Amino acid sequence: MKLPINSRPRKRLKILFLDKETQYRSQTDERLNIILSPSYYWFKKATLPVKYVTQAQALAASQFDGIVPEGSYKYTVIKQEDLFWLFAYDEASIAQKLKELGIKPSQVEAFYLAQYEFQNLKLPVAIAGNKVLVQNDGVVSVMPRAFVDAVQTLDAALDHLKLSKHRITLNLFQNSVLDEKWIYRFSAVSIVFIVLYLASYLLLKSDLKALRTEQLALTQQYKLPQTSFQLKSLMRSLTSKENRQLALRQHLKKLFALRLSSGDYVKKFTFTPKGAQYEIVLSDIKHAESIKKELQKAFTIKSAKVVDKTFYIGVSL
Amino acid sequence: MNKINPLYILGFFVLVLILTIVQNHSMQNKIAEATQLVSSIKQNGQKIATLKEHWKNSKQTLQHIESLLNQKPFNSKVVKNERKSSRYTIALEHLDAPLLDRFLGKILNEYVVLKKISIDRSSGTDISVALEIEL
Repeated sequence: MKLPINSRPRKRLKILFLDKETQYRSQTDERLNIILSPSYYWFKKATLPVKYVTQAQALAASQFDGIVPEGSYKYTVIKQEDLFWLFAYDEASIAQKLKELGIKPSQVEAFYLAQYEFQNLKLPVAIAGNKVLVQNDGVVSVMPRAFVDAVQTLDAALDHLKLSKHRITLNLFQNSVLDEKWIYRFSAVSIVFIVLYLASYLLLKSDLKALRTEQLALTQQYKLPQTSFQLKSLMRSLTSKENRQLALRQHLKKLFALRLSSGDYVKKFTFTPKGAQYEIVLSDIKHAESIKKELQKAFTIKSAKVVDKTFYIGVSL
Repeated sequence: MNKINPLYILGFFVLVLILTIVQNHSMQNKIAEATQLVSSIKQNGQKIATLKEHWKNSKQTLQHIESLLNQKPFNSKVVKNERKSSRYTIALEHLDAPLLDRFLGKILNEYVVLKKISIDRSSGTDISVALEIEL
C-alpha cells in the first residue's frame, strides 16, 4: 500500500487495566486508554420501556436503587440488541486511584468498561492481587485465582484487544471545591451574563459613536474652535464684551438721569468707555457743588471747574 | 475526556465576566462623559452663537442702524453716515430733547458696540448727536 508522504501509522496507546489492586508506575506524559475493572462499577442488564439510550440514561439511577451502596454515582448505558446494559460508577474512587498511581487527568485518553471490552473473553485473565477476570454468561467479573485452572496474562489479553467505541467520560478533577454540577451551572450563568454584558457593551459602543458624531456635528454647526482652551478663550472674550457693553448702558442710564436745578442745562456731553465729560450751564454757580455730589455717588470725579457759569465736570467709569 | 479542570473553566468564565463588567462600566463612564461633553458643547455653542450674533455681527449692526436712520423723523436729521474700516460714525442735527431721547433709547436697545457719544445743545430744540460704533 502506498502511504501519503509524511504520514505515519497511528501509534497504539498503552492500555491500562484499572483494578483496585492495580500497581502501575506512571511515566510522565504517557497517554493511556484505561479499562475499568468490574471492581469499579456496578452492572445490570435490563429491559426498559424506552427505545433510546438517552431515555434509558434517565432511568438508570432508579434501576440501581437499593443495589448499590449509598454514594454519588454516575451512570452510563449501552444498548445491546433489545437489552440495555446499565453501569453505575463512582468517579471519585476512580480519580483517587489514578491520583495514587500518579496518573494525571491529561494523560488519560479515554475510559472503557471491562464488561463491554471483554464480553467475549474465553480464557480468564490474571489481574493484580491474585485475582482473575472471567466472563460467565456474558457477565464479566473478578474472582480469586483459585477458582479457575488455566489463565492468560493481562499483557497477552490486552495485546490482542481491539477497543470498542464505547468510551465513558469521567471528571477526574475531584479536588474541586465545588461539585461539578454547580461548576457547570455557575459557568452557564457566567456565560449568560457575559453575553448580556457584551450585548450591553456593544450597544453602549454604538451610543458612544453616535455621541462622538453629534459632538463633531455640533462643533461644525456652531463653528467652535477645536480645543477647549480656544473655546474658553472665545467665550471669555465674547462674554466680557457683552458685560462691558451692558455696564456702559447702565452707566449711561445714570449719567442721563442727572438731576439739574431749574434754569440749568447740559450744553455738551461726551461719553466714551473710559469716562464722560459734561459742560453744564448753571443759573447759579452754587448748583455746581450739588451736581458734583450727585455724580460722586456713582462715579469718580476726574475734573471739575466752573468757568463763567459753565460747569466742566469729568467722571471716570 | 476531561483534560481541563472544570474549576479552571469556571475561573476563566468568571474572569471573562469580570472583564466584561469592567469594560461595560468603563464604557458607561465614557458615555456619561461624552453626554456631558455634548450637552456642554450644545450649551456653549448656543451661547457663543448668540453672543457672536449680538456683538460680532457687523452686517447685522449695520442693517439695524441703517434701518433706524431711514426711519422718520430721523432720516431727515442725519448729517453724517460714514463707515471707515471697523468704525461706523453717524451724526444727527436739529433734534429736540424728546426726539434725542427716542433716538438714544433705540440705539441703546440695539446690540451695538458703542465707542463714543457726543451730544451738543445749541438750544432746547437744536441738539446734535454724534455716535461712533464699532463694527
